[in-house]
Amino acid sequence: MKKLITASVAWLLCLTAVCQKHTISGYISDKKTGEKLRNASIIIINKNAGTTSNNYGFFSITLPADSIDIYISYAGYATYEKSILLNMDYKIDIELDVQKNLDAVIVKSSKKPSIQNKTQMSSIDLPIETIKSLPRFLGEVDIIKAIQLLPGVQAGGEGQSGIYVRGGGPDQNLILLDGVPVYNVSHLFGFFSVFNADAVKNVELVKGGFPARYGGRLSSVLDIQMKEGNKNGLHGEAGIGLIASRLTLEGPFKKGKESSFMISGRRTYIDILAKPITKKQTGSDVGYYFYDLNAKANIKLTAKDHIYISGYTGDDKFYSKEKSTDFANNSKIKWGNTTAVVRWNHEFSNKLFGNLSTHYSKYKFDVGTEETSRTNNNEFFKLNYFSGIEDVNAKYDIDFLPSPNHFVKMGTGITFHSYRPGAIQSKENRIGSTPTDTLLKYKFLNAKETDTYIEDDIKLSDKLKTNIGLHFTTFTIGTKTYTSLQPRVAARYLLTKDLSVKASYAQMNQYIHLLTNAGIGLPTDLWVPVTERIPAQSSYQVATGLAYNHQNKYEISVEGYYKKMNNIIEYSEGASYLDPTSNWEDKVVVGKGWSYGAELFLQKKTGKTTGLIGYTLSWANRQFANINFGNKFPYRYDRRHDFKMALVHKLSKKIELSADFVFGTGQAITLPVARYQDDTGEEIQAFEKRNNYRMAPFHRLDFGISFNKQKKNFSRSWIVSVYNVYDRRNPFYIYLGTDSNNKPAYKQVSLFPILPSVTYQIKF
Amino acid sequence: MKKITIVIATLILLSSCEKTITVEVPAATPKLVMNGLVNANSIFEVKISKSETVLSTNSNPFKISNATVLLYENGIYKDSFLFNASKNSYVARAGTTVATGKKYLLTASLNGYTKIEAETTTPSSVTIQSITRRVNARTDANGNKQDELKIKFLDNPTENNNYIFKIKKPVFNNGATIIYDAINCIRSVDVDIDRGSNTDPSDLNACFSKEFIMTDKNFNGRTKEIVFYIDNYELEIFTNPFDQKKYKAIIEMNSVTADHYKYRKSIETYRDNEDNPFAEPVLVYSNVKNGYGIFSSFTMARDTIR
Repeated sequence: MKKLITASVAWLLCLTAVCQKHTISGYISDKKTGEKLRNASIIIINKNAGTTSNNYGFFSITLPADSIDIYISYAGYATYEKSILLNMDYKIDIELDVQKNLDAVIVKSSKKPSIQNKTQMSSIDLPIETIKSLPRFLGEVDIIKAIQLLPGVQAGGEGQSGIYVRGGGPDQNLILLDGVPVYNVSHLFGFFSVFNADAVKNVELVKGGFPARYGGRLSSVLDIQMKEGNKNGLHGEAGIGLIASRLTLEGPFKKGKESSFMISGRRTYIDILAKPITKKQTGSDVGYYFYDLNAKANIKLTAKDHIYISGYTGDDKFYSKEKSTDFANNSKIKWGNTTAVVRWNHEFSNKLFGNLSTHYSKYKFDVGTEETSRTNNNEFFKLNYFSGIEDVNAKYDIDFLPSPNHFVKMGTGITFHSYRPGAIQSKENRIGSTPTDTLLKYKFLNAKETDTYIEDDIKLSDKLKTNIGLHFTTFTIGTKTYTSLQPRVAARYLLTKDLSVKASYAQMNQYIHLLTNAGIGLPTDLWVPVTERIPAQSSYQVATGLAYNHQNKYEISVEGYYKKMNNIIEYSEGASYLDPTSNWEDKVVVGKGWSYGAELFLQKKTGKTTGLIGYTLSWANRQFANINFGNKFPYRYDRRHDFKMALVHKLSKKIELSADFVFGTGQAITLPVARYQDDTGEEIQAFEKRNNYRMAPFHRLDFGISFNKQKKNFSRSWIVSVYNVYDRRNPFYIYLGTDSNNKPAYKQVSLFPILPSVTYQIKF
Repeated sequence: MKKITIVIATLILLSSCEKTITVEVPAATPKLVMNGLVNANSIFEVKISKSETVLSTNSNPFKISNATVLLYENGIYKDSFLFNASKNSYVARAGTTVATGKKYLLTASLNGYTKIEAETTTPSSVTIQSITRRVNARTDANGNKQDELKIKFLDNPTENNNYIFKIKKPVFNNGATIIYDAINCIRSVDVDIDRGSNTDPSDLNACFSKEFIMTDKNFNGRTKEIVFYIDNYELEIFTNPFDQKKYKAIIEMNSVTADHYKYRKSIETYRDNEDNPFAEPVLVYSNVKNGYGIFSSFTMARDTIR
């Protein structure tokens, strides 16, 4: 009993005076732009303790009173180091300078947060500057195409902007723009993504070992953060490319204040350039364009309160306008996303950081034709097909850092979804007949989704660190409520100071399905919710691997993974996505998927030559009761070998070279292999097995060179890119057609030959 | 001028992107094909043919008249088959008939081809207990009068049964003899009818074309009654003008194997979509090892609609 009392007293003393602890907290930001830096590494060297900054650059670390050496680093930036006598709570806001402007006073070395120290595995931070340095497709920087260069990520097809992560489907990626889900990330049928790189600050892809804060999709999270805007002065970027031009402006609302804005826009001009030709050829006004607009405002209310408002809107539009003597006909295909988010960061204490946010996301697709009488405006016929999805969300997230050994994140949110999976509307007004307004084949659905999570990044010893969490969701549609509790565990063990072994387990759940064609990324793809007949998708993924940091120059990781997916959907045999007369639930079947493989990733982030090399050996299979006679078959994007390489080399201050190369096993497709007669004597084409044929391997080399010059008030660059340098005819699809002698033949369609492009851009 | 050149160059560049080339796809080795849906109590008769590559331009590539076709009953050799040119099929030489409950193995071989084989066990026969008819029981949206038919039968509890139902009406065959032809539109809201991907049983205006199929999974071993509707004029008594004989429509209830059922479903889906370039490919079911086609025996119960 005496011992117990003594121990209790000692513990109480420790909590109060004897073991007095103090907290250092603050924000880490870029010195030049004022942008907050997330995931910066804060290390207390002499205490063997550390933490990282959160999504808003905030950090906090609590330690016993003592003299400490604080060391703050971030990839590509000079390191900050300071000795502090920790006898009180400190609040320090630190501005890191980019590495080229080394400040001799505060910089000692270029030590950076290292891959081997993070608990998180299967995640890659791709610097936006690297993305912008890579060769461009038709002059446009494309974030999704850069993501496709990472191991474990497959591109849908030639030139496509879809991603297929670790054998998952295109609907299984949670693509967030400033925390808001974006449902369709494609412009021009997937050849470009909707993300304008000039407006983006960070890109992070998580393929496995998902922390509990993420949920709602099975296969990946692609977290894209927009720039906050330069706080130190008005700056901008503008570019003129082969098919599009763009302009970005950013700056403080008021000089010297810590509030800023960023606005960025991009538009294609194929329609404007081609107008005279198309009009002459077709006699009508036919065109296509896409545009997107990003904006963000970052307002510091008080030292502890910050508000961020950001939004995106973008559309693609095909249009055709024709006029005859009697009628005018206007037709259009239009699709696009709109997102908006408001966040309020509040620092409750130097250990507790809160973030209240509300967001809106909408994807819409409209096809319409309208015929109007030119003699009587009241006489018309309109036919429209429209579909889409709309989300309204509110959530609260908390970061709590009670000690250097814990980083607790928790939060809860609610989302209201409105689904419009396809409707046809017909309106007609003719002289002498009754006006009609008919809505056909519509089944609008509303649903409510909640999610709650808690996770803790726990340092168990100097070598062992874990991240343990739970994610709980509910989904209510009609009178039915689904629930799901998803445990998440990740751990890393330091074998040496540069080498660690990692392992993770994550269960995921998804209440939404995408009805898609063979991955072309058409805007007709429909997002649909779970129903009584179509259950929620679920998965579990285990992954393990090694992470090695070689002299802070190279990061190497090797990972193996196994993922099982349940209740995934696929169009049933004979079903057609272009059949609007059938209910979508009747056209799909529910089944299972498996994927497993190994990934090797090497990344070099510093020096004159930077880049990455990735190799994936993988298998991805599917099984559905009513497809392929219930037998397992390879997924269309099952890719046994996948090799990728991207390099950027600074030849001089003025010239930068870049190149990327990809090689992958061909896509699995279903082709008829024979023909024979059935029991009635009619001919049948035999497919034998689903995805029985592999198209030729996909490989391509792209090259880029940029000529940069610093002028008095701005810098300018000429960027020359060559897509598909050696003019490889990669297969897009194969069909059974006829050759020049009208004999049956397999025909392969390829899309892009060698495509050079030039972009001119300025930065001020 | 410079600007126009750039615009034209851009357009040419974009429009010339797509390229189509002929590619070699390894040709599948031709295989033997066996087609035989044989009715209990009738003489075995099957069609043996061969498959061709999809690139073949041969005008009559399928016919085979010199295959060796052998029948085994419950594992013991039973009969061989002879090619009958007029029927373009192989018929059991000794006139072996299909018996219920028996297991049959049929093999076919031909020089240069891998031997093929398929097995079937004839389901036991199921009898129709009753058929009732209510004339002009309903009128559809177009004003057509329809008769209600109810068929009742007892399912065999010892087997997993699969059924194919057909309603047939008498018609002239080439103006001389009378044959029975399947009625094209059968309506029913019975929940046990297999509607494929269309799972909405409530639409009485939707037709089953020529036949409908179901398994006994919801009524195994019990009496089942199916209600369906046929246009009244389809069930009119047919009088042969030559001999004034009267003929009535009939119901055929086929008890088929699981292989037969799967084949029926897949071939129907295949035929419905074979001209649709946007439809997902359909794999037609086959129970023939090393080849294509279907070999299956069935029993048939038949009754007149009065």
